[in-house]
Amino acid sequence: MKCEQIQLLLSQYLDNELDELRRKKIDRHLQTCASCSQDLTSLAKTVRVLHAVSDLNPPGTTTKKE
Amino acid sequence: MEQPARTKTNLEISNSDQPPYSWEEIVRTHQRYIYNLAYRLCNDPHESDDITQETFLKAFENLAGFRQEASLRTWLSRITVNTYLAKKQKRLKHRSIALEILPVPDWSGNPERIVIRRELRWCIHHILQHHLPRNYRVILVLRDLNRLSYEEIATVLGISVSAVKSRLHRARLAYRDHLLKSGCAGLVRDYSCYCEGVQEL
Ligand SMILES: [Zn+2]
Repeated sequence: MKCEQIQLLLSQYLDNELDELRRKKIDRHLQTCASCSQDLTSLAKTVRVLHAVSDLNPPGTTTKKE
Repeated sequence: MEQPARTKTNLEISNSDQPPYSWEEIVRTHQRYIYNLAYRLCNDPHESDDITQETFLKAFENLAGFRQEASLRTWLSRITVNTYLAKKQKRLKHRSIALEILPVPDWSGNPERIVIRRELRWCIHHILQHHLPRNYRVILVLRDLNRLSYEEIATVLGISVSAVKSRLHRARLAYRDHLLKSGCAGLVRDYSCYCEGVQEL
């Protein structure tokens, strides 16, 4: 696979949404391609940042609580 | 906050018009989840109230149309997102909050050990709220904040799973670019943004 194809799949790769075959192809590619690896790292970091605020909830919940 | 277990939200709707649970029970079970979803989308407690009320009103009116293909919570989420999207986006001017100088977090270290502090949260939400098209914001909230599966997102948004995949990826790239471009550290330092004064469209 070419770099462009790989890069389009990186979100799915991170989310574990790829089939075994594709995942292995990407694994192999990443071992030798610094640019795609870097892309993956920065994307992973972005997702981690979003996950880190996923516990955000409204400061004062005004809806009735029962 | 603890989120209700996803597997427990399937309502067993029988063939009769009578749902096995009362409307009050439905509201009680899902109200907080829906309110939080609305809040994550609009970041405004009053608007979240409105969206929540509208969601349950529409749900009540259309309950007969609810079928089991989706869980009740997914169905309610879909109404919530549509209600949010139907609202005219307020043209809010950024607030520039002058605060004491805060230390810049160290982004160079092991990412696992990054402590997301209050200021950083502000920055992260600022980008979500002010620098992304709404359809990107929605998909990031659904996937990366609410942790819905691709299939659930497809149902909530009424699009195909492959459309979810490509939109999610583009949204994450856009988010990453803003994170890099804005130099998140700058945001954290003085709560100002490079876009300050730009009105949200
Ligand atoms: Zn490559």
